Amino acid sequence: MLFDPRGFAQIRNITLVMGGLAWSLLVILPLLEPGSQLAHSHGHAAHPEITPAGMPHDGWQLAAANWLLMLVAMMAPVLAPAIYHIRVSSLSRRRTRSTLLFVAGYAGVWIAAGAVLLSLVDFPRAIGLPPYMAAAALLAFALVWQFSPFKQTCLNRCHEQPSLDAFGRGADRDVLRYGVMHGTWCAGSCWAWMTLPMLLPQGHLPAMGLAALLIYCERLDRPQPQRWQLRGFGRAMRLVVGRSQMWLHADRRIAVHQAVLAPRTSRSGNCQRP
Amino acid sequence: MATYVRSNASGKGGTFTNTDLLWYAIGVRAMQARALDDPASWWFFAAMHGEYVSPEFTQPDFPGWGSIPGPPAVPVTPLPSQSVIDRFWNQCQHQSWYFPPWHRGYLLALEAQIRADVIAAGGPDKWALPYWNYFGAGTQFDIPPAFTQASLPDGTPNPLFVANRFGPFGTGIIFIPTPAGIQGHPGVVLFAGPVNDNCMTNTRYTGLNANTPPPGFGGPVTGFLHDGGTSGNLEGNPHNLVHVYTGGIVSNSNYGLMADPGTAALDPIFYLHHANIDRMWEVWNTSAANTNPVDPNWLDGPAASGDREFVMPMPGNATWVFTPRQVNRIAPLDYTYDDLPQPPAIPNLLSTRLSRLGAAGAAAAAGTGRRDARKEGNVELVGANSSALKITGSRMDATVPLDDIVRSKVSASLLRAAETAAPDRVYLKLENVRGTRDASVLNVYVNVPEGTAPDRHPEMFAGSVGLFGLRRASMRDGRHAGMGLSFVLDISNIIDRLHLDRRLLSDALRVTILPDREVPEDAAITVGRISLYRQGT
Repeated sequence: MLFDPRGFAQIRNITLVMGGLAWSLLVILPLLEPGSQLAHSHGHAAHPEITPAGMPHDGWQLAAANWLLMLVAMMAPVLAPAIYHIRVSSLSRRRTRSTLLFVAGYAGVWIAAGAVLLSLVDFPRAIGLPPYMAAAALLAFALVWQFSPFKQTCLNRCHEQPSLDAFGRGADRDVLRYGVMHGTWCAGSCWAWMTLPMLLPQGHLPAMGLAALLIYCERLDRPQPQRWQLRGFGRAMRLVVGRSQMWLHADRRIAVHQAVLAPRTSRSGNCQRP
Repeated sequence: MATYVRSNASGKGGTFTNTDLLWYAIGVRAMQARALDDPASWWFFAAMHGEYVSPEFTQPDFPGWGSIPGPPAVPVTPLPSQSVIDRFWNQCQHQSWYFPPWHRGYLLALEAQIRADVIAAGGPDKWALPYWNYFGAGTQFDIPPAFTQASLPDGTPNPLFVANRFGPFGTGIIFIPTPAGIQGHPGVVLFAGPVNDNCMTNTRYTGLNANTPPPGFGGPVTGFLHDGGTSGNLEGNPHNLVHVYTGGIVSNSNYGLMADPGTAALDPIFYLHHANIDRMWEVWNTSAANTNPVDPNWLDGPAASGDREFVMPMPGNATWVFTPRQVNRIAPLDYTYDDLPQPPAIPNLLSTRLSRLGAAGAAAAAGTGRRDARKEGNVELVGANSSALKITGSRMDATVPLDDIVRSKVSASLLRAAETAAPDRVYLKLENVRGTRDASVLNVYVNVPEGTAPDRHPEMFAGSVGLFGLRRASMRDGRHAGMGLSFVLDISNIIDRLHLDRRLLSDALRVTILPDREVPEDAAITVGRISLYRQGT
């Protein structure tokens, strides 16, 4: 009904655990089965046998499994606000069903996007572009996109939480539609960072980790005006600093600066003018 | 004794013979003489609360600052740099647990600037803001006359006079429809729920209990929140309603400055209203039963979570960055009020409710406090309507279907209230209310008998909500993603009545919303969803 920090923390922790499990699989699987396609289908160097269509030889199922694992690892943590909204807006016995439908809609968009993006990954090699050059080109474009007003539009829409029907097909329809819309704006926001690691000849897992961190951090910001500006880690860094200070000065009782509140007639002073 | 004492503006009849008001006018005039981009100007301070003049918020028509009929003549240039705008403007905290402390800091900063100008003009160095106690005796529900006169005693224009201030009737008669105010100004506007100070019997700052409807006296847990969400109880009534009623409305394209957070602080009465809200917070704090949050997330403010800081310009080119911890109480700030009455006695609402439900024994136990510690229980949805609703004209009716299983839980809890657990509390929620007509009040009724006028059934009245902040909360690219305003009304008493009359065994509730005045088709207000929640074990 109203935002409950403890209730939200539970949802957030579950999504973090799911993301963590996916990351564990991404790290562990290559160690267990060095020849596994599932383990190695990211990146040109580790994946030399990718087909012109962007699919591993093992078929579309493996590519989809790969993409889904990557999706869970990178995106599960950012879904907490949406899932929390769905759960508090739904009848208690429908919460799981509604959450699953939302996730289905969301993942459906990303799977469709994945088919396109995986094709893009193979395009540079098809035209004879060296892997590093292709990655550099996408990195440059991703940075331009990152600081653009278009990116901000996508981020702003990711914060939207629609009213949801509570009963029957209407409820199913609304959460599915919410998942599709959320997935669409999310894909619009994150497509470049999701694609870049796959273009890298090596180091795709660390690159994925960095991209996931950026995606998580930029969602901490509230909606902003659509303009060209730096965005990404600012709020997260301030949060770390603020929490550190809070922790370091847990017993602090800040004195009130009476001198600031006292009357002054002079307009000059040592303090900086805002 | 504190150095600075805020006094009741009704002294000396609220006229300019009250020197607090006269010096206030002189200070306001000095600030209004400065440029928009000067942090010591009236306009800069107003923009810190909220504005419609920067590229992000400007509007082609009213309430764009370039379209505001004077006086005052509101400047639209020169704008400060974008970095200054981003740091200082559009800071006001609404629908948030930061609402009381941010506005306290804001008052202190404005007061310091006015005082500096008063001193420069030869006035008293202990000058402090007066407050407008619309709940006071006599006719204090009327705006102090000093704000309605066209000129000062010396014949110069009165800077406290504002053209766009229309009052509840839209006629320029400014009063607050408190119970006394409604009697003093009989009229045609519907005042289903008077402006009141019922929030003073709340005993929880954030959250809910038997005496505190959600989201609590001070407001819900949020980060930095400028626009949108659910107001705390002090903010909802009286704060929002006073804003809306003082501003008033005369047409779709013209309403009072006070009715919108983006124009409100251009009206000098704004600060006297907020001084009274601040006084109410301080009175609330004088009760041993009431405490402000001790959560570091509140005490250290949103900046500790990486969000915007609370920052004010101060005289002498200074800036003051503050946290709620620093403004927790008024005395350490060397301030007081001339009247800090004892807070009202806390009624035992649980005992009253149990008696009504026929559980006399339990009511007696609740009266001793032995049952008050029972668990609050979980919150769950009971039912909701299926699609967005449009409020136009003078009335909107909606059917809210209820889930059989959850509704039966409510009935069961009311039946067994005497035995093991507290009866469920039930809340009606208006979700995602959107529009541009801030100067509106919605009066909400539940299950009014068909064919009868809702205002003839006060027992079915759920509450009145003022739409202060509606436009900003509805901006799709605003900081709240255009989610609009939401309102939670405690309708447990109505549900008790339906239960006792055996009318709760229904598959739906009827909700009727009466705007305080007709809403034209082209100014429609939409409600995303009307839902019913229960809280219980």
